[in-house]
Amino acid sequence: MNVSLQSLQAALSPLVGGSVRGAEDTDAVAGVRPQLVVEPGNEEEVSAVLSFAHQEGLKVLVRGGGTQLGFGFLPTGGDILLSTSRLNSLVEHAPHDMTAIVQAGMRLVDLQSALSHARQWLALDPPLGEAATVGGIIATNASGPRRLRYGGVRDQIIGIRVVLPDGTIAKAGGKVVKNVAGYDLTKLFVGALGTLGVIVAANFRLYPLAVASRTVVLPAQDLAPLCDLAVRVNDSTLVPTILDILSPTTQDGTYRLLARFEMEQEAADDQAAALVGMAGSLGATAQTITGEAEEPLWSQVAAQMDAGNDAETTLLLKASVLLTEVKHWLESLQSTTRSAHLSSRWRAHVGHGIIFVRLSGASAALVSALEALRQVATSRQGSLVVLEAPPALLRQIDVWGTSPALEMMRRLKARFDPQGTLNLGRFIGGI
Amino acid sequence: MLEPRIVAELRAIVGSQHVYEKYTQLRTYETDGLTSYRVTPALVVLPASTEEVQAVIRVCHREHLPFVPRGSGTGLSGGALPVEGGVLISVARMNSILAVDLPNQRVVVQPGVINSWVTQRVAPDGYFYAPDPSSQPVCTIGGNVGENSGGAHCLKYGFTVNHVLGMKLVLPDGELIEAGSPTLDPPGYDLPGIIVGSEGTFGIVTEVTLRIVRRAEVVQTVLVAFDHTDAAGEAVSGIIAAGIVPAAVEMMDQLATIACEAAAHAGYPLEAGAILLVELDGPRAQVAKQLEQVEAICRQAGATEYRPARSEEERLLMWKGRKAAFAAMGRISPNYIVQDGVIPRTALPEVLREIGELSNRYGLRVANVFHAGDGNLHPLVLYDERNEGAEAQAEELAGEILRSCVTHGGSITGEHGVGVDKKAYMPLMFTEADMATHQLVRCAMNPDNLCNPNKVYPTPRLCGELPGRYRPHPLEKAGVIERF
Repeated sequence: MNVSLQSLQAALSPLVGGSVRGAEDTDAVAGVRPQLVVEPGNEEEVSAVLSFAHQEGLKVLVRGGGTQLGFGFLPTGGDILLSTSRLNSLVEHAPHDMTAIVQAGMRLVDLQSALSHARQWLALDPPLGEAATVGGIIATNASGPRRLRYGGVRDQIIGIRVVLPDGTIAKAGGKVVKNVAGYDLTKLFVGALGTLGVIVAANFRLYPLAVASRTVVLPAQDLAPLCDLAVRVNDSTLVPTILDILSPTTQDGTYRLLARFEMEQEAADDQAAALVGMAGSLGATAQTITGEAEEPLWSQVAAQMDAGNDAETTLLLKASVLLTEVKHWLESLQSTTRSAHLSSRWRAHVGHGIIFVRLSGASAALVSALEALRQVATSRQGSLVVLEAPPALLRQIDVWGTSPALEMMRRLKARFDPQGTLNLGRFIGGI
Repeated sequence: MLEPRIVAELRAIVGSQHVYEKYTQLRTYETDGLTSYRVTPALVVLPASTEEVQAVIRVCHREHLPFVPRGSGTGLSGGALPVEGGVLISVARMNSILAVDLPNQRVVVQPGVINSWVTQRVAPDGYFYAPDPSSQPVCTIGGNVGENSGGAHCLKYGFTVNHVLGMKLVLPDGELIEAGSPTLDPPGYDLPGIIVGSEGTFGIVTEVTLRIVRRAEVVQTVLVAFDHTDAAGEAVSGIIAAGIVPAAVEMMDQLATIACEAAAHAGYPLEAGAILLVELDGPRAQVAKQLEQVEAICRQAGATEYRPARSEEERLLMWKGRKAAFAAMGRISPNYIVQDGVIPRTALPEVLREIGELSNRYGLRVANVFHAGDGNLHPLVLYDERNEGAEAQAEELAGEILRSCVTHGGSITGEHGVGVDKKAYMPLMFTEADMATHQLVRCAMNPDNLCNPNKVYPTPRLCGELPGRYRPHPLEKAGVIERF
């Protein structure tokens, strides 16, 4: 690209009503600093920016709240950073239909706050910072503990509006919960990391907020009995919204199984008691927590994953394994960490098989541990992806692993983004 | 007629007895559940394995023969309508449940497995397969994957797409891909998400990994009668507004109730203007509490009768009547069209009034059954084909209902699919740009448009060559990642 910064800025400025500025260090994406940051105010402006970039052969990176910019391979170039920050309104909330239409740049916390007035919520609780946007959550397929009961992004999203790299504005799905008219492109954009088009708005189904809640905490010295208990809970009529096992905190060295029951109060009491009963001797030290003590406990659980030593090199991993393989994978994690002198903190969602791990230590040890742990996951039908890594380490690791359908994924990318304009190089196989 | 060498080659692949070419045999396959469209295929082939499907498709691809996949042929939008001069590939012989893994809540099936077999297989262990289209005793999982089939219990449990984790798909050039995985979030694009509901236009699935669900501690169904559909609609809104997510909420108007009662003897009150079937499931105390709320809300809305099922037998009988609805229309009308539209739930009273007006204007009766919880309407337009012009009038009325659905922010189909039947209505919902964008996926999967051509979209897109050239990623060059 031979365009000067000034002429580029001059060309882009009228397309976005002046919302263009030179990029700063804080605008870097995985260490790649773009030249300019544009903040379109509507989908037509997004379209104008993309078709300009497409024609000029410029590379575009996309940013929502910026909480997950470390996810994906290093981008192959990045001239323009397109921020969705001004696309931040709740377009429609139909409380009686329990649906909402949301612009991509709206923060999830703001959406939840607006929906809570009708005692409703979008059933997504990814463990991200407050800046996380709806569009970013869709693009990264971010999910949290309550996925066990409500499903992931693909299960909540009912329609989408996107802008393709050539500027085409297109939609799929609709605003009704049940709809099979046309191919369901909404699913394709979930987790596509912005490589097919820029999401400008999405439609969701909503759920009522829970009326009551109970949390059961089961501490144990050994991991295996807790994992075995989780398998039995999964095969029972208990319907926790969250079922987690947590790595020991440094203070006490015990593992904890946490189960949350969010439903009518009497039912939540019954289910909590039934879990303690199922736990047998493990249940002796069980605590059932209710009321004001509950939220601080869950905040502390979330904080446990975030806390750490900034001086150390750290990877954030997401493993996905069969429910019966959680125990084996966690035991492998522990032996790998021990032998490679790494430290780890983890949160295993034992009801749906996703495990988040923060792994810290020396770079070389992290690289080989990653490969070993991925091997354990994939050899038993699971997967392992890296959600966060320092840019220096990103050059040495495979973020995604592979897929038997990689060739088809390349063909899809080639159809949607033939010139490789969007988020190039960041996705699986360097897509 | 196909060239004899092609027929011979296909016979060699699947066995002579599994290729049909006699007119009397072919006629069985000339239509699916939408009998107003009929095309006799040139040949019907019934492969028995993934390898045979691949081999058959390779021949079709080499010879540029269009082909259409078919399960049980119960679809209601003409999705399995054959192509003139083309091959129909039936998955009926691929009907084994390959694996059941209860602790991981997974079942692997071949595409010809009947929907209800899955639940029958896992029910003794307390599990079920949630998507339950009314045709479930007959329809196949392969067909369900094609259509993203729903059913009465979608409101709480979701559709086929929410229960399919992965599949083997034979692409229209014979290549086999594995999409998805038994675990959540396999890396890469969500291919199962886009393959489910593609109406058989991306290839043929030969293995499907399904998620099964643990049955709730308690399942309770109540039948509630009202004088008018408006009152029933008010009750539905009240239930949802109370923060209850029922397992199902079904509504029938009086005409539908009379037909269903005649067919199934479910004990439905014939004098009611509308009846609701409300099903709640979950922990015992939860269901008990919510049932109290449901009763209060229904009585408040003017319920004339409130009848909880007192036994599992009675509960199943209540459902039998509802699930027989389409077939039951034969008892009150010589012919009928099943419509499938969706509206936001709150538009129900208004759309019902519009349907009533349309019914008066056309002089044709319309019976209404709905999945009321999710706004999915199934108006049944009744007519007698012996009256000249009646069929055309009925089709026009059915089309007007769709227009009304879209005007109110809804959809032209909630679960039956677009097929050939509703292609012409797609522009009501989607712009040219929308539809061209959707078809980028078809161009990646089925670039020659040989697999189930001319379905879903009114104007098929020409795909052209794959643009752009492949450039290796730096990590690939460095040997960190591999290209396959």
